[in-house]
Amino acid sequence: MDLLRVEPAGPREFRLVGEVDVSNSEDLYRILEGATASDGDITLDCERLTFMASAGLQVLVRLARNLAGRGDVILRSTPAHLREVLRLTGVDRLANLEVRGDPPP
Amino acid sequence: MTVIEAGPSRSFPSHPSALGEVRQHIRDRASEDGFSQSQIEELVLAVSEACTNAILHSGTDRVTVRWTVSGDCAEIRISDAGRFRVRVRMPEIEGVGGHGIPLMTALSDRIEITKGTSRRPGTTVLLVKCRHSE
Repeated sequence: MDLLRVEPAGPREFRLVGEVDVSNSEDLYRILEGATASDGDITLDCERLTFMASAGLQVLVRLARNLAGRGDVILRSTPAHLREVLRLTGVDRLANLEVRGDPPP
Repeated sequence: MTVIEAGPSRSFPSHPSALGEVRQHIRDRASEDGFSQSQIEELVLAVSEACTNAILHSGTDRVTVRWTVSGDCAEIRISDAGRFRVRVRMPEIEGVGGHGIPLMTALSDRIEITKGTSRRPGTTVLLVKCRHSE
């Protein structure tokens, strides 16, 4: 995955650095899928996520569905461009997907 | 990667690994031509989605991106030599997916799709984005 780096950033927390598109979205899903097997929220730090295509949104939807009733997918430090796409597509209205815009403390 | 320069057109391999380069090309052109940061993000996403459709569905080995400016607007034509095979998806049946064309529509001022057919192959998606529309 040239475009994207996924860095562990804590228990059930990952930092996404780079761009997500159809060339790496399946790899991203496979990396994060395991964390949705157990209960609890997972957090994705998006501060350095510079691009997300619809293929990446599908990954978020699949992760949230996996966790439904057991935890939330939390997007942290979500850049404005990504918040806009989440709003346009309605992905931000998923019951267990939380979009936070604030920078990390 | 081989990039053929032909005036305002650039040709990319019809492979997902080319998408990063397509986006960089659009970022460069859009900032040269004075689009705002948020408009650049929208253009990059719209063109990336159009190229993704061409790459995944056209069955051809090149996709061409042509950037021209007309007055206040950028006109971006994404062309392949194939057949238009994007289907209308029913999320209730097929689950997630099929966001590409609605996203392109939401992010552009105007969109036109000229469909390639088996008798007349070659699909072109025209995306128009205007600087004043913000």
